[in-house]
Amino acid sequence: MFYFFVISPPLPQANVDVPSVPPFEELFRNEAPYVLRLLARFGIAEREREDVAQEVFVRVHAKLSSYDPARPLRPWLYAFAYRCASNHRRLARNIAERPTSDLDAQTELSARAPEEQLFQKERHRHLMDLLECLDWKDRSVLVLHDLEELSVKDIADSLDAPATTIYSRLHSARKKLIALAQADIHEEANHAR
Amino acid sequence: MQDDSIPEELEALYASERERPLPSNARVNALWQCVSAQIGGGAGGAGGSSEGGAGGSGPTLGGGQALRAAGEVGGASSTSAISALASTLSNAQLIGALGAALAVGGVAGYQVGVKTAQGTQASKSNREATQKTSSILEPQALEPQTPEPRTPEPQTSEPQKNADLPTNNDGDDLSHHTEERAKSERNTRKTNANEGSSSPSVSRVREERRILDVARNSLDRKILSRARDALVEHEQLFEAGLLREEREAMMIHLLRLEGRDEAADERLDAFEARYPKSPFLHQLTR
Repeated sequence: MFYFFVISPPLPQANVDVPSVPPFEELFRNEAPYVLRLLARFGIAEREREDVAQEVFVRVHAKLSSYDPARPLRPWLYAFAYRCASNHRRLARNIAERPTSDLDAQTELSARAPEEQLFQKERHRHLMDLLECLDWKDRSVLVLHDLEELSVKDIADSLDAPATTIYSRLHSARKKLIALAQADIHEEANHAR
Repeated sequence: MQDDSIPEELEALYASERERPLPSNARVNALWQCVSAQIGGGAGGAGGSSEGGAGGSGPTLGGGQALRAAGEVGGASSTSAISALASTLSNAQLIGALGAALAVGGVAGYQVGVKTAQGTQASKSNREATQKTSSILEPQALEPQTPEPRTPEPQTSEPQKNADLPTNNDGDDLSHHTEERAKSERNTRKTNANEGSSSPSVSRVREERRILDVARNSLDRKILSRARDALVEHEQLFEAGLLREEREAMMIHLLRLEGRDEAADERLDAFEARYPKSPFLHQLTR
C-alpha cells in the first residue's frame, strides 16, 4: 500500500502564495461600512438599511466557502447587496415608504464648516433625488460603476449579465441622469424668475 | 471596447456623493451584534469549506475554527510533509516515515472527528468566552444585549404579586390569579412575536437609532430642546444601550451648543476615559 506513495510523482509544494478566504469577522469589519454606503446609494431608507445589511452578511456568511479568493472580494460582496436591495425594493410596503433623499450622510457629526455642510447636503440630496427617478436596473449599474468604481466586467460577473447589457444600461442611465439634472436646473431657473 | 468614462456633466454631480462619509464604528458594531446573533447557531457549518480557509475567527464561529484546524491537519500540511520527506529520505526510510505519517494522520483524523462532533456544543461556550474577552477590549462594541427599556413589565412583576395571593394546599394559585397569569403570558408571547420577526436585538437597536436620529437632526437644526428631550429619552430607555457612545458624544455636543462648557468638559473627560479610541473624540476635542 505504501509503494503507491513512493512511486507517485512529487507533489507540488503547498507553500505557494495562494490568497485565502478571509475570516468572516474580518471581512465584516472591513466591508460593512462600504456595504451600508452602497445600500444608501441604492436608495434603501436609513431605518431599513441595517436590516438589509444584516441579510446581506448572513447570506455572505452562508456562501463564504464558495468565494474564490483569487477574484476581487468587493464585486462578489456587492452582488449580495444588489440582490438583497433588489428584493427589498420589490416589496410593495417598501415602495410606498421609499424616501426621496437620505438623511444619513447629512446627519453624521461632521468636522466641516456649517456652510460647507449645507452645500454638501443640498448636492447630495439633489443627486439622490435624481437617482430615485431612474429605473432600478439603470440605477444599480450606474451606482456600481460611477460611484463604487467597479469595472464593467466585474459588474457583469456580479450581476450575471453580459458586458454589453451593462454598457447599454450604463449609457442609458447616464443619459437619463443628465437629462433629469438639466431639467431640474431649468425648473429651478424658472422658479427663481 | 466601449468608452465608459464618466461625462463631465456627471462628474460635478458625483463630487459630493464621493465624499459621503462612511458609517461610524458604533453603527458597524451594532450591526455586527445583530449579524453574529443571527448566524450564531449555524456558524460552524459555513466554516467547514474544502479549502479549510473559511473558518473565521469571530466570536460566533467556534465550530468553524475547529473545522479549519481539521483542514490544515488533513489537507495541505500532510501533502507538503510527504513531498518534503520524499526529497530527503531513502526508500526504506520513506516507507517507515509514511507508515508513521499515516498512523499520525489516523489519530489526527479521529481527534478531528471527535472535535467536529463536539464543535456544535463547544461553539456556544466559545462564543460566550470570546464575547467576555472582547467586551473587555471593546466596551462600546459589546455591551450586553441592550437591557430592557424601563417601561412597565407586567410579567416580571408577577412573582411579587403572586407571593401575596392565597394558594391552595399544593401551592397552586387560585383561579383569579391564574387568569391574571394567563393574561401576562399572552403579553409575553405578543412581545416575543413582535421581536422575533428578525434577530432579537434588531428592533431594539432600530429603536435606539430612531431616537438618536431625532436627536441628531435636532442638533443639526439647532433645536436644542428637542435634541435634549430625545437624548434624555434614549438615556431613560437604553441607559446601557448599544449606541450609548453616540448618545454621550451628542450630549457633549449639545452642552457645548447650550454654552455649558464646564459641564461639557466634565462629560468629555468621562467619555475619553470610557472610550479612549472613540471615532467621535477628534470632533469633540476640536
